[in-house]
Amino acid sequence: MDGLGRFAEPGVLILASLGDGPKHGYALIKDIEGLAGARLGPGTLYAALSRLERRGLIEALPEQDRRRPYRLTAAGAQAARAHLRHAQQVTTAGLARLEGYAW
Amino acid sequence: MVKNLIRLYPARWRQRYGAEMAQLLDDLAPLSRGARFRIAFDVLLGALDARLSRDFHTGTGAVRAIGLAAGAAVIGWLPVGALIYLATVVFPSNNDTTPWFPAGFLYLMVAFPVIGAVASRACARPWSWPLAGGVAGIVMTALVSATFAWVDNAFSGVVSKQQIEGFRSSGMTSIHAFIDLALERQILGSTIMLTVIGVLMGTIGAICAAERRQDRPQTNRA
Repeated sequence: MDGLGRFAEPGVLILASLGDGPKHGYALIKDIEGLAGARLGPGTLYAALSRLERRGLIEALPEQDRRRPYRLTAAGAQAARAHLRHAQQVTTAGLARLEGYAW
Repeated sequence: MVKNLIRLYPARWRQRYGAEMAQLLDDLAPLSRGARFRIAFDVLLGALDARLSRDFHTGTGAVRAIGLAAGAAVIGWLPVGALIYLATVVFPSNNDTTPWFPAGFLYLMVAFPVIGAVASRACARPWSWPLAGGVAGIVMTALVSATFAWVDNAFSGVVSKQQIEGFRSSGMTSIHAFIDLALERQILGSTIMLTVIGVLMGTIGAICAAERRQDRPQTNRA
């Protein structure tokens, strides 16, 4: 997820959302809202999509009714998996440390 | 119409994503007023991001850096214009020790490094940075001079009262000729001062921004 800057988090959400199949912009926004409770704006969504596409992490499919679906590439799946595993390690370690916290 | 904001994106971006985003905005409708405002702001930020990105521009990096610096100078002039109006028309004073001038100067010392930082995103070649800063300084001078000229003409009564002391000691016979001469001197002084500040502070801002980007860790970020 290097080089995505402030679009790293939307980028991960998009990759995770595409994990169960191709989606177009509106479907991505709705799916991410259900998945993470975050509502991406169109500007943020397309800034992240364009970065992910340029890095070969997703690819565009042919247009369907003016809506273009995107799908995960092998490199995208690998990057998302690595990022989420790392986040999971941090989460596990963080929660373990907080267990002993008095409050 | 939020869809009209898509025009603010660079042409190459619009060719690739414009129709999709227009369809997405249609899909998101109808929107409440609050949601429309939020989405419009998000699209505006997206357009700014695409403009700053090197991936969608058509001109060379240096030309783009200069164009961006000039555009940023126009935005940066807005508070200066407001300051000139406030200092001259709303709170006029014959006293040379008013806080307006130092406030404006301090603002410019912050604004030009920011303009330089914006320009450095468009072009990594260091020689373009002082050039972009200088152009921003000239654009700022033109706008500041135009503001002073407008204030001098539109509020000549207020301005005349402020400059009466200087006029009396000048030996000139017409207050309007005195104000015009003062404006010409101001334009000359501003051109030199703002161009020099633009070159220096713009370059400093560009260098700091470039170094900051270089220092950014290349490991995965959360």
